[in-house]
Amino acid sequence: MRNLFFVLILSPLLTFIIHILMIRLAGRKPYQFTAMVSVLLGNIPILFICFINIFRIKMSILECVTIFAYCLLVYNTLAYVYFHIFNMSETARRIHILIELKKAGILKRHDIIKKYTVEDVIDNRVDRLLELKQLKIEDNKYKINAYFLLTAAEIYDIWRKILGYGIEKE
Amino acid sequence: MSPLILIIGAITFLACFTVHVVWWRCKKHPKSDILALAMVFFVIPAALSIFIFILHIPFINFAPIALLHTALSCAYIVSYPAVQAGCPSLNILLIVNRAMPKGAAKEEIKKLLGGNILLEMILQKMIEEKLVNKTDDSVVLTMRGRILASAFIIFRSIMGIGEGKG
Repeated sequence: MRNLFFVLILSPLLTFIIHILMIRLAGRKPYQFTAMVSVLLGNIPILFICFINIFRIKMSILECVTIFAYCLLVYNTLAYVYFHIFNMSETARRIHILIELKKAGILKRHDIIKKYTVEDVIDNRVDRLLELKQLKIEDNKYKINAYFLLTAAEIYDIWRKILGYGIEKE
Repeated sequence: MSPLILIIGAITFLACFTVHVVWWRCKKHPKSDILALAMVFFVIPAALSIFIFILHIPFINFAPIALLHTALSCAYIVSYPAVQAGCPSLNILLIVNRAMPKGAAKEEIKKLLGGNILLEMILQKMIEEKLVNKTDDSVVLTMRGRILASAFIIFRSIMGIGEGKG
């Protein structure tokens, strides 16, 4: 069982390797899409390793189910962390500014502000949402095309309210 | 592996999450959110587990519980900045959804979202988090910012992809 434990600890590395391969194979597909597919594909080797470990040791059905549930839960949670970190490197303005600063050494405050206008920020994101097929255009209006990211947006909205963001405090 | 591991792992995470919600609701939101979250999700459980370890409770297998708790906590902490600062992409989807079935024009999205994505706020937050320093009208990286920037540059260069669009 110790092997399985170490496999799970190292599983983000597995997702990373699958993601590199997916980027090479998927051509022009958006990087966030390939990241999502890589996370899903990573479940296959994890389940396979799980099977091998279970058949090597005699155990009850309850224990087998627990091991599967545990492995899938831990792997997918860590893979979600990987996806988020990758997503930050792809979309977060603060990460982009840090990288620009690292390359330039020093930047004027107004140059940074000029580079990231509200128009650019919205255009980039709308383009990405269209690319990911979460939005569609009909008669010059943007409409919801899929419910995957919208559901995430609604969960985040509820979560913000639970934590009291948007509520005036002293 | 006992199902107890799943149950205890989930309970420890939910207990930390409850502490976090109560803290955020009852007091002012902490200035350094990530540090506060790390304390709630890692320092307090680590202190408790040392206490339990001293008590010699034999049926608890620490390593798998700790891994489950760490995975759930990391997932929560990486999601948190989008909740705290608001994620423009998710906000766009909410705006468009509220405008359904007619849909929303780009101008409407800009009007409703514009004030929430000002770069001034992001730069101020980066200064508070000690990622950058402000000198007169210029901005430079701190040591922490330089390490983070290097980590992301290396990460993306290993993948063989260029910079993200931001």
